[in-house]
Amino acid sequence: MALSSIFDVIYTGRILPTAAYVGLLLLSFLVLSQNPRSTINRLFSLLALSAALWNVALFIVLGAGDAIAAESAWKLFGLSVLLLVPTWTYFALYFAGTRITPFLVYAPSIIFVPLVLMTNLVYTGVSQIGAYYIREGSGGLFVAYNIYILFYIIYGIVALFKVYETVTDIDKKRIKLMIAGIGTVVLAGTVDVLLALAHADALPIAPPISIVAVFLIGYSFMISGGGLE
Amino acid sequence: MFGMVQTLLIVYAVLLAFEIIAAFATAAAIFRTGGAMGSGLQHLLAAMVFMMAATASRLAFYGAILQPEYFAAIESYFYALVFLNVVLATFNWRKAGNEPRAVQLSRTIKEFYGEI
Repeated sequence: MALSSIFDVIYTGRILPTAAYVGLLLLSFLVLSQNPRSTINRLFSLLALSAALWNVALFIVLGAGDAIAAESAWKLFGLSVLLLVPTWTYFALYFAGTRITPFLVYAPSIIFVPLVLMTNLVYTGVSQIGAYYIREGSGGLFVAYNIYILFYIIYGIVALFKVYETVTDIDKKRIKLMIAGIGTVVLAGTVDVLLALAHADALPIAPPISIVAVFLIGYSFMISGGGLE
Repeated sequence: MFGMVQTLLIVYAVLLAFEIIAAFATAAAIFRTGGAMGSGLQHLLAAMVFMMAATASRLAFYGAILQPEYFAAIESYFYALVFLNVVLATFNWRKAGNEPRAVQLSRTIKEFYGEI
């Protein structure tokens, strides 16, 4: 019960997901405007937009009035996670200089989309905790789904750390800000996945935390001397 | 928290992931120390060959040399080798590939910040 009262405080008025949504949209346009023709900027823009969708889904989840509405809201949330996770890994790999076929990176998500949207194999339903509905999951597929997400997000952050070790000193400060920003979200996402695996009565905390990434990456553009003029 | 089957499944998934990384690192290290960078697909294919060799030798162990009762001994020996290999291969891999990567990464970062 202690956990649910924490979420009551964090998600009062649903301000945090809204702020994160606005921030992520602005960041997406900022990065794209720096170099609209570059693949890396387009990828980052897509990443920020999927994170924005993630926050919209959380916003809808928090506002769901009954179990049926909550269930469809959670499906939208699941869809946004399945879009966000491979996009993040693909972006990190691309940034680190690894060129890999996008299909290979997105393949597990493509398999999981119908399972999450149309069946009860991964998530079995929703249950009410305090003012909110949380989703319940069990079984082998639920474990496999969570391990997939955990592996992908950690793999992405490892790829970015490798970039940090390789680049010259001038770039190090910017990469450090980027790793700190995205790393915070990845860390929160890891906590979310572990809580889900432990069947804790918890709402996700990672979506609104992406506002930290927005600030840090936005700041990295300011110190580069190029953008935000 | 977890049932027995789920725990075994998680342990198996972690070990398998580790084995795949080891195979991939070995393949990449061999490509780079041999002077060729190798594409991602080549690394993947080489890693698959390594995995197949590992599975074949393991099957031979279970089938012909030792009894299945000794599986803990066989597996721990096998994973000790895999672990040693992944440590060595990862070091060599990164040593071999650092120079051209630094130039390429600097370009990517400048591109991202709109400086080129």
